[in-house]
Amino acid sequence: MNKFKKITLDGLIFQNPTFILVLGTCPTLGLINSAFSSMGMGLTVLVILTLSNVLISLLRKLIPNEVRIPCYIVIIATLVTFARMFLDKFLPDLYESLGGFLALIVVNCIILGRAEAFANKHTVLESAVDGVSQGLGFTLALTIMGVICEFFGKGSLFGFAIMDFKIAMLATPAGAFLVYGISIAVFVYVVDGVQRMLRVKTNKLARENMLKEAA
Amino acid sequence: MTVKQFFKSTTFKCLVTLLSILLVCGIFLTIMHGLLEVTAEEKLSRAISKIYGKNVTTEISEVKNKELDLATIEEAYCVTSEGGNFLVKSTGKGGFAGTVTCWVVVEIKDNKISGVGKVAIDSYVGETQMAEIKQSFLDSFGEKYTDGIYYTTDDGFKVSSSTKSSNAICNAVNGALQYVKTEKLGMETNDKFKDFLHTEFINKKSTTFKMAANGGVTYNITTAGYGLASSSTIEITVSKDKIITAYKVTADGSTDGYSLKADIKNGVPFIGKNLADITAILGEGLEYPGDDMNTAVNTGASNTTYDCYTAAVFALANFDIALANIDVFENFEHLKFINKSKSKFTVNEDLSVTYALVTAGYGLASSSTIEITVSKDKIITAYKVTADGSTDGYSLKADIKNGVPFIGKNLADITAILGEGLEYPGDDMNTAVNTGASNTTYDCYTAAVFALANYDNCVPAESEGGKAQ
Amino acid sequence: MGTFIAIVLAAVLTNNFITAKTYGICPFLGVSKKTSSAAGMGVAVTLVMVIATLVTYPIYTYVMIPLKIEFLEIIFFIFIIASLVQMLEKIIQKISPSLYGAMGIYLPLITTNCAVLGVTELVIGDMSGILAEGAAMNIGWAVLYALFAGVGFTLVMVIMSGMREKLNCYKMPKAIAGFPIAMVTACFICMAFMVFSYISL
Repeated sequence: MNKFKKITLDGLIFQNPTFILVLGTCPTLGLINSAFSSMGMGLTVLVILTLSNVLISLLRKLIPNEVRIPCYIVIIATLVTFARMFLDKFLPDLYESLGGFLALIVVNCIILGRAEAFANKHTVLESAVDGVSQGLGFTLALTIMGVICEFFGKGSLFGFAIMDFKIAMLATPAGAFLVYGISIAVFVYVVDGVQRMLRVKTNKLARENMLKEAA
Repeated sequence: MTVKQFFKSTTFKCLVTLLSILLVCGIFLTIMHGLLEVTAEEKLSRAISKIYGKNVTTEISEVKNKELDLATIEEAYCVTSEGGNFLVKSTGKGGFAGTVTCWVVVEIKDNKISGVGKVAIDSYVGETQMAEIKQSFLDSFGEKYTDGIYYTTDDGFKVSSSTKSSNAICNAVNGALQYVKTEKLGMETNDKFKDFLHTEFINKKSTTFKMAANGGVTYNITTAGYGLASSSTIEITVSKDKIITAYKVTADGSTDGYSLKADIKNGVPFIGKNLADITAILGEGLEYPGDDMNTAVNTGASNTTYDCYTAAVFALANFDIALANIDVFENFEHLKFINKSKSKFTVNEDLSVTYALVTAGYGLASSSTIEITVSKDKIITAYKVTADGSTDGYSLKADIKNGVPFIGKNLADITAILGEGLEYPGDDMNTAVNTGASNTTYDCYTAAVFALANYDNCVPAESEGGKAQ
Repeated sequence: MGTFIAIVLAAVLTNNFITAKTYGICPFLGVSKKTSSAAGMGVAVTLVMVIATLVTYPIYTYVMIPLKIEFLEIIFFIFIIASLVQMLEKIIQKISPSLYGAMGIYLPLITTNCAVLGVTELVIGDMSGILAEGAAMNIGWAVLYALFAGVGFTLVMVIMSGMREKLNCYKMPKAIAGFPIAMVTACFICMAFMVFSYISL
């Protein structure tokens, strides 16, 4: 069970694809000016990532090493095309708001990266958990930044106008870069601080144990 | 490498895996494409929810004539839950390299079009600047609805840097209005330029024409505005010999920073020319000759200058039809008493007016023909019934035929006899019109009223002033 | 001529891939620590973008649309790009080992670069604001757009790498070193490029 806990925590925090690995930056920067579209993008990637992880993990013994990358790409492209049809049919609003970035999920480094770094070495269940946790990490990061950018940049949240005050620059790519950069810095700072505290705590415990034994 | 070795090699294995994955994916997607394709009904319900924001009940409304001048009507629905408004899917022509398809809500009130409710874009082909079309532009159709057609140039329905696409949207809306008007409300398209040539050069709504003093036609043309230029207003008079005798640009539609040359504004290149002369300059197709240095239209305001040339072509080419279509009795009073198409009037040298009226024929009487001359002082100086419209067995009194009760009278005198309402006074013995041929006599009286009341309409104030000098 | 200028201005300045569209950010952040490598990456991306457009645009227009298999566009395009990159790598290795040494290492990274797939998807879609009025889309404009989009990409890459080389001289806290400060730098480049949006075509 510990294994799955580690995979989940890695996906959400310690190996967070957006803040720590800094992958999938193009859709992040392009869509965080709207909370709705950034959350939609996050969830779409979550589903595609989980499915691709499962499929690739299933096929990992069948695919020869030499052509694994093209095979992964074809599988991911199929999933993205399917997602595109699905959204066009059932969620046309989201389909329109994602625009060109929907097709670009194919080249989102998170998906190919997880396929290459994780799914082709692990079991189906582990890969699925990894896909969900990485996808959630991505979705949460995008949604948080989407809320910040939309609230301050457009004075609205999920499309509902809240206030007249707005810093229009935050809704442009320049603002996206700024918010993304500051978010990484804060995230890294907090995670580092927590880790240091934990380390200090364990060290202290260890020392006390040693002292006890010595006594 | 032998064939056998090849089939056992990694290369072969790789190829087979890759191709089979490709094949499976391709088949999967093709099936999904078939299953998930967005159908026409879904597009309709999406369009409806986009327009109304709720579910409405619709009935398919038949489209008999799909191909209109400006647009193609794709589908039409009667929105029964919204008071019988029409939802029309119309594809506007005249886009940049294609067409724009719009949903147009045409609002109906009391069997008349009361406005354009909403315009929403469905799809487009060959347009490249659609991002420039903003919601506010689409909303402006509803806000600025006037009974008629929208023009891209003078009504502000032109989006800069996307002029062609906005033109196509305009055409789509116009097409939808025309469809509802002609097919659903059964109204005639009241188009005074119905058989005119080259109407694409002009704004049909604002352009007028009237009889000129020299027997020709005076047009007041508002141009359509070519390219970047807005509409210009030009007054052109074409004489009976189909030669331009007067040409004056009253409003220059050139873009900011440009303006027409004074020569062109005063019509120097046009006055004295006939259709062949102007066509020779523009060429057979009347195409815009480009911004070349060597053409007549290159004047620094080439688009507007081209507009001026095409306006001249329009005026000359349509002379005959305009002359035939001139409504000489426009704005006249008491038109119900006469037969408009058969009656005529001429203005004499001494500013008296001679009418040759054919009456409408009151009650049992048929039309009579009456010649009336009204002097400058608005007094009848001559009155003669040339054809008596009385029913068989009756006839007008000789006195009335020769106009004895009318000559020397003014409008007030005649009105006093008939009464304010100019009503038929009945067959009573005690009235002036009771003469044994009362209906026809009444006709004669009303003809006199018509002649007197409309003197000012026949002799426009300006020509009177001109004479006085 | 007007269309040519419009495309060049749009692709390089007003609709720059990095500063306006946020395409191709991974190499922009990953390979911009040194000017030489940034330039190498930029040239490699430009090359692949042009060749990819040259292949995908006609295939889409003359094969996929008539066969009504537009929905397979993503698979076709990414497969074409991946194969092109592989072929290009082999060809450059054969013809000019020195050029391969300079930019060969960037080529495999380009397969998953959204700028390349992005440009092939863009030119088959709505070119609003890029193509001036009075011109219809064709293969020539598509390739020209791809070329200058690549030029714009390289330009921003080089600017960014210059600034990051200077930034390396300073010591900064761990939390903002690396990506965060790079992104703040990118923010300023984006703001500078926003000025170009006042160019009206």
